[in-house]
Amino acid sequence: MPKKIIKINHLAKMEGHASFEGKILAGEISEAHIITEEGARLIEGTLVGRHYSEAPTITSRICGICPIVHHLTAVKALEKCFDVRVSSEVVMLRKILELAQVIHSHALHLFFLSLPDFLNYDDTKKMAGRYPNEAQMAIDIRKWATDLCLVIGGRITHPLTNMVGGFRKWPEEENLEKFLDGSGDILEMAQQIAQLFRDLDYPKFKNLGNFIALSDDTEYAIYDGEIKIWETKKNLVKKIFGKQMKGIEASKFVKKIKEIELRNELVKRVNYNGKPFFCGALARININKYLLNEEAAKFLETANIDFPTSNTFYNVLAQAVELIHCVEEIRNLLRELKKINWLDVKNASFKVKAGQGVAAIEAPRGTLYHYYETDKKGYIKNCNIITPTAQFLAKLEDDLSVFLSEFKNLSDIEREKKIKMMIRAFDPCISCATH
Amino acid sequence: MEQQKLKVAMVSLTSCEGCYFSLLDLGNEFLEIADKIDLVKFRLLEEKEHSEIEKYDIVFVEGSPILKSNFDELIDLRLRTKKLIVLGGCAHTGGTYAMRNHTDKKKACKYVYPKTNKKVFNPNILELSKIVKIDGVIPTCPINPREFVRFMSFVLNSLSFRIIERPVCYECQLAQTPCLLKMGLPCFGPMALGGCDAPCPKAGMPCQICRGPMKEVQWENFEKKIKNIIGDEKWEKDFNEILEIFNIKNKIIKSKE
Repeated sequence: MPKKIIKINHLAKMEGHASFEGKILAGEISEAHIITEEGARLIEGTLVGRHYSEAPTITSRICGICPIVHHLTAVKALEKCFDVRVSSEVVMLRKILELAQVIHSHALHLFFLSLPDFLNYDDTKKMAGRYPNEAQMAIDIRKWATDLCLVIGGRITHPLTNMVGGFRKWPEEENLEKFLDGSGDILEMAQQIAQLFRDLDYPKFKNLGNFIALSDDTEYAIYDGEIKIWETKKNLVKKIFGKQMKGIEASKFVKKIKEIELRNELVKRVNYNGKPFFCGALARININKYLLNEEAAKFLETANIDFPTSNTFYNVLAQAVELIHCVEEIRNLLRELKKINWLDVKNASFKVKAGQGVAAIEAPRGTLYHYYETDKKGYIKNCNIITPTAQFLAKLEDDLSVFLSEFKNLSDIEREKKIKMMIRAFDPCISCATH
Repeated sequence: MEQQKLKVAMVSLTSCEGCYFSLLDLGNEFLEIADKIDLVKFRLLEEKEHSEIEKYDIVFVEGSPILKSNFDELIDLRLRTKKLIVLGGCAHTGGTYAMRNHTDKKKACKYVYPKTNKKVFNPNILELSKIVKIDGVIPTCPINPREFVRFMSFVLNSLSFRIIERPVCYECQLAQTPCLLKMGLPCFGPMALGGCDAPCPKAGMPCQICRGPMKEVQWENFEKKIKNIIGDEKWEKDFNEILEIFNIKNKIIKSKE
């Protein structure tokens, strides 16, 4: 019989609804569960039989904070189905869109959802009142990124412009230039916000497990790459990461991960080689930190933390590093785009056919996979969507159970705070997970 | 003398929460509105659970009831609020998740949950007005945050908010957006209730009428014209498929009668 049951109903300040339940046996937490509270939307089930062109529209409705990555991953997977090769300009615009998505999601999570835990505030509005300058910077960074999403994607939430083959409408050149002009200020703000997160007191924690992210030899992978895995158990020799690691194609990797249905729980738990794994900002930094842009890399040096690390609380700091990196990367891409003569840019033409395609893109919270199989008229025969939160939920539960066994003597209130702090450090998106 | 601020709750049923993120995207403008009201429940910003006996002046509800607890919460909120305003496509029309109503929903559930499907609660997705009395709508998937600002400025001045009956085409023309219908794309703009500021046609995406049709539409005229442009066969297919995306098909047929 469990000695003590800890239950936290309706976790706030995160995307989607969930509760926590832990069981302490003889002073040690033996179990920790996240109980998700979103209804089954059956997105994949309803997509079967629909025309392929609807998939980006419908799958973006999975999540209101990261609709762009669903939209883009659907488009990219369908382009694999039909063997479409889009132009480099299309790829650059999509990269900017995805980077901007990461920025606005991270800025919101870092400052408004996670920071109150570190500074001991229940109410975000109160905290923002105490740190008005920083709050304004977080809002300004977010605004810069969401405006960019609007200009390239056509709308911030549930984007519109992307389609198989390219863009329905190209962004206006002079609009893009405005963002390049503003990028210097935004970069400075991102650096200041990041410093705030560097100087926080992170709980000490370690646990075994895998960290999985997209990786590319030439750039910090967000839009494309192969899957790489950092195993905390074997790879304690920290030199073996980045280029030396062996990559796996996304289409092969999805066959190696298992989705497990649970009783009374709508989110399937995902494992790789029978073990839970982490994906998200910390996995990306752990694997790809040597490809960070200049300012982000410099900042990481000053943090004095030995990456790769298995302390998942550092996911918060990793997001702060990415905030800087993504602003720099967008600036680089906007500079590249300045050289382009838009009159020459065209969408790829293609023929709808029977086919299969898997695509993976790094969402703010980790690698998102979409798979589609179409018939010769372009109707969807099969599909699967594996979201980042579904992937790391088992790891979160595992980390929570280990973390809590270290806090046997805390008061209930303090323990509850620690639980919430860890959950929010993972930045779960329950809406995505329960699609 | 300072007036008592309106007690407002912002609640999501099963949803993507995109309508609330659209509000946060307003940035400072949203925080200014939040200052003028007593925002007693908004889980994206606050941890505290307010007492069960709390009474609200306005409750905004986003999303679809897909869990049993979603239904309970909706009914409970109705009993505790003076006004219940539905926010966004899901709450207003049933939205995207209602696509299961047009297919074999048991089969769809079995596809996603091959082992546990029999235990999964799998209701038809309903617009909220079919479950409780509602006092207002801010439509669109996701809501147009500007429309929310307009709504709040009416409410804060004790005026009642009303959506003006004019089509999405009106807003397209104001913005000088090239007509997609004329290009041969199946755009429902002429029939669709405006107020969204026409983001879709502006982005080259035909209107899929997520806000629903205007009250008095001459459906037959539109159908005749659109068939001329895109052809009979394509029209039949588009009509059936596109109008299912935001669960609008049944609403159109009604206005046709």
